Amino acid sequence: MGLAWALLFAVVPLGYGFTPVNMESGVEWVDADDISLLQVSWGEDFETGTWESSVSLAFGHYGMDYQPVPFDFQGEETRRSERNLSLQFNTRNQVNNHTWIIAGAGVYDGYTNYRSVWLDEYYRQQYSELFGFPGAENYVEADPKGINGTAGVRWSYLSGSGFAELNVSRLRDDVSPGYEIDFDGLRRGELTLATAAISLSTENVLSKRVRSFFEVRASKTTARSTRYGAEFALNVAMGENWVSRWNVGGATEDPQFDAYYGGVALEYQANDNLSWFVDARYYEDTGEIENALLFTSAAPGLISNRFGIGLRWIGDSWSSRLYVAPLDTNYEPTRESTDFFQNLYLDRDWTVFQFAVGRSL
Amino acid sequence: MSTERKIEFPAGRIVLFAGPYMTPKMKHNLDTNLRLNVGLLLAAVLLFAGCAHVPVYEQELVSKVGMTRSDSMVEGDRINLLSQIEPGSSVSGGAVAAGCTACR
Repeated sequence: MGLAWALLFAVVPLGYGFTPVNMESGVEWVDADDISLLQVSWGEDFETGTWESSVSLAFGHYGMDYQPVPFDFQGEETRRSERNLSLQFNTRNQVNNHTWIIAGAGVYDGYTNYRSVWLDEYYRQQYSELFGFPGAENYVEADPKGINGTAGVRWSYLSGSGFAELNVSRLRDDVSPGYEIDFDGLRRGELTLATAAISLSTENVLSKRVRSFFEVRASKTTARSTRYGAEFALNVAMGENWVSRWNVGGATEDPQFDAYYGGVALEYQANDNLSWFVDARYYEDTGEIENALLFTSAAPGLISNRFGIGLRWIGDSWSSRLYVAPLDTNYEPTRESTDFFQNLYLDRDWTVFQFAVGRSL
Repeated sequence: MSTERKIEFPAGRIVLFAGPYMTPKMKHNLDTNLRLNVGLLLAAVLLFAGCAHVPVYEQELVSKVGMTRSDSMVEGDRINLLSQIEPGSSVSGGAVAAGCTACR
């Protein structure tokens, strides 16, 4: 099925005069003792006249050993695997020397993250067989899928060295819902979420050696407050062969979610084709909203650290990138209301692996 | 329901100018959300105003792979799966429902 989609979207644009420019394929694998995440992606860039377009297809697989807490008397260990397939199309058209219009659309089918899979298994074990209990009919088998659309404009306000970009997106997601139970019965969270998002970014060549990027964004999802976020990045050419990349960012959402992160990468170009790089990243958040009636699956605060090493090879036609990093995640202890999710919010040592190969056509 | 963080973004302008007249409790309510927003706006203004024009023929170093921002997996640094592990770093904030049933 995935291959058919890929062929369809690779071949159809050619029939409309699009000239393929680049093709890229990649594998990402993030693995811990009990959870394994895999994504295989493929993408192709096309051009025709003033239009530049890209299509990408991604296949994801989440596997986990579900382990309930010892005092979850209804829970049972099981192996859970889920798949995800997504397709995205983006295009932009240069309307004059300084302005581009941007559009994009995408669709996916399947779970978008391992946490939703874990929680769906928990809710299935707890609530799928509540025969006769008030609200038992509220339990539904999850069928997550979604669509998205984006429109935007890019403006070169300083020729070749200063750009601003505004994007507006709408997303509609059929999600794996959450549940709560009390003496009034079983209640279900939203089945479909709508998200509106806006982002404004600037990219500037500040000097012969420094390029900056700055983005502010806001998004509003059904039944949640607006989330604000920002990211600032600075790329510095320290010499002919040395590059450093710095970034800091954060996000905040009422009533109590705040996240901060920052990272640095150092890259050395060993010869015309080969570079190696190392990077480090720190992430911290305060945990999610926690005001459920009795129990909540809201994540506690999280700190994660990553140190990675990689190689990049750029040839005349072919290019590739290899990256490996250990990543550790440390959650704050769960509280009484979140104790059933101790094994979801477990401190984990992850291994991150990424390999991508591209070809200029 | 937490009642500590009630200041919404548009109120930031009022609080900025009213700072000297604010009570300690009001200042306490100048939460991280507001400070972040104000800081971001200032930084944005500085970035817009502070950039100088660098001619294209002088951009050899800033145009190399590794210096440009790219969605390419080969030329960029993006790792798609990590937004699952670091939920605060995703662009849209994500449409995750299963995590919280009664968030509001």
